[in-house]
Amino acid sequence: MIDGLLLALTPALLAMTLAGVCLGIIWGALPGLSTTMAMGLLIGLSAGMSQDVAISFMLGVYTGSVFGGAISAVLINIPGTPDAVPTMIEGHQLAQRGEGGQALGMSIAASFVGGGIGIILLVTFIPLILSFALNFKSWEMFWLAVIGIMVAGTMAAGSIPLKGWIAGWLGMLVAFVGLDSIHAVPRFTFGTFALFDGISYVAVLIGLFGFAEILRTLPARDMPTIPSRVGRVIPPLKLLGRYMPAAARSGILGTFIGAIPGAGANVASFLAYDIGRRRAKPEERDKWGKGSYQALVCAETANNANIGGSMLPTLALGIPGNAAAAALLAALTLKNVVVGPTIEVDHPGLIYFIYAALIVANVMMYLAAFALIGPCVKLFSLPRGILMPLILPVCVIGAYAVKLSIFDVWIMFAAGLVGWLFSIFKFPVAPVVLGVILAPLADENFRRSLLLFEGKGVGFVLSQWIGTFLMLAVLFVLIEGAIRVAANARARRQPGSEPAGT
Amino acid sequence: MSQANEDGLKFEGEEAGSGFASPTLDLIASVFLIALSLLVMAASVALPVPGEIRTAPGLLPFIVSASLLVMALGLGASAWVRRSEHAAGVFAERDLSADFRSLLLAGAIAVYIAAMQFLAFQENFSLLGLNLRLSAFEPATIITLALIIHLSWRGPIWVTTTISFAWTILLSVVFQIVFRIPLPGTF
Repeated sequence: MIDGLLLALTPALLAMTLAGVCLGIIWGALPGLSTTMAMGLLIGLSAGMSQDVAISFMLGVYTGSVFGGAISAVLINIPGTPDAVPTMIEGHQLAQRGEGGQALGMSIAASFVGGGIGIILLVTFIPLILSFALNFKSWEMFWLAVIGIMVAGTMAAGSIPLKGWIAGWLGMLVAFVGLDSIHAVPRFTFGTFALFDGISYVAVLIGLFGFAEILRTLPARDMPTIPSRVGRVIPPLKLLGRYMPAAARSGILGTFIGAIPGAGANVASFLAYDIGRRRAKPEERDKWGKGSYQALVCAETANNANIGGSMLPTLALGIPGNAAAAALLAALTLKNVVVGPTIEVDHPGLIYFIYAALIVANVMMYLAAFALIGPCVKLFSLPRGILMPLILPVCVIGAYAVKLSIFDVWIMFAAGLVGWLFSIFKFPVAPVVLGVILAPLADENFRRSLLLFEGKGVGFVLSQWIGTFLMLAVLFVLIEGAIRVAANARARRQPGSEPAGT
Repeated sequence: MSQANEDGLKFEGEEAGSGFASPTLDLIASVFLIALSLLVMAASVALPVPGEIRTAPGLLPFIVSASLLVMALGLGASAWVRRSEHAAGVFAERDLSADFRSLLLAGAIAVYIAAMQFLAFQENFSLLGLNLRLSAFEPATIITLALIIHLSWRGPIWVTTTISFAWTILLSVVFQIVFRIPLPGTF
């Protein structure tokens, strides 16, 4: 661990972490530019970096952009990402009372505490999960991949999980294109040589989260109102001390939710916000929704703790905790780093370096956030008509850089059009990414386990208790989704209810 | 994309507004997904099986597309049940002019990518001791960005051209010199 920390503290890596954090904060602060979009676009850029530099940079971007959403949420009432909605509800009320600076200061401090809790729990639990995950064989890995895609679908689609699952399944179909991993038979390539290598998930990621966003937002006419002044950003440590129990609870909650594949920072911040309200003292509870610092602390601590949580399944199982972690996984894969149960064996010391890089990124985020609020406010006044087109060449370079192939740029273009159509048909896009990344894992392990089960009965298959447990978990996700759809349909049939999704 | 919820709050991001679409749109999606899953099922069966059926390359694609078919039927059934909810037209809740502008934008970007592919060239030169390469990326990006910024922002043409020129050169230098990543538009 000390070696990892010393490496992360070398001037070159410190500079790259700081660059990543600053880029992440500015990116996250700009409405419409999400954490996943930042991570996706920068995969291409990280292709030209060494492994350590790429990890430090990407973790810096991840940490910075999760916090960055709070700046636009508090100041212009438009959160960059869904997880910043509770921050917006409370923070903008405070900003309207002239306490915008203090609200942002509180958000920064809470984000720092949340990030710290997430890292502590990651360091504590990862050895346990890794030792347990070493028992996972092909059958278990197959079911884990299926659970990852299904839970991502359930979490992303809200009222109609079916759409999330369909999105995940479509992602799997995309990943099946190319030479199959066991017999090297070309699948769905239609004789096109460029497809033999499969469809680049980096290009798909950039298309879905970058190019699609340009197509969605650029032609829209609405623009946010820009605040004239923010006020002094005071780090209210005394005030934060008062809300420490709520911060600790929300941080733990955010970490554990982050560890569930597919359950992103939005679930964490909404749940922590709701639980925080239930557990608050009556006088504090009355302030909820009207500008409560405790509510702000609950939401911000949870969504930053989610970063450490999302790293748990990503590093220990190779199953991304959310779409942003999937982008990080893609960046690691480009560096020939295969994460999963054998990470300690295949890449000794790497996991400690990742812990250290996360700690450094969290500290950098705390320091850089105070300095960057002013420039971010100036950036808000940059017209969207200028900002969004500037992202276009970054999307093109990002898609091209991985394999130096213009074909991948066309893949990015097609994925962007699909992402835009998904928004029209109201399908979530995050499960597609999980599907694309996890399908090869599912495919290879499924067929390998069927070979291993040759001549064995159903009783033998069910005696693989971890696999059976995971199968039951998939069944549980299916039943829970069906119950949710039925409850939603009942609510819609009640007189006077508005149709959802309209 | 900006999305307003029932409380009048807005949030932006890629997951804004996922959920139920109008029943007609969900029906269209359902029909497309049914056709796609049937096509993939047929293509999976047609794949060669070099070993046993257990390791057949089309096994999981077949299972995935078959389950996608079931899900698509579920989506279609749900849309059919809800069909009376929307008296308004299919696209009543959409800004069709914005959708049309999105398609025009996509068309312009397709031309931009095609220009980099089919008008590829490279010219190596040295500037201030740095070895640089000029390719189709730079002129194509400057022209496309200037056009898109001019159309979406409606600022003076000299400003949009300056912005696109400065941004393209900055990206070109940073990627070539700092990250040593070749840019598209070369051979």
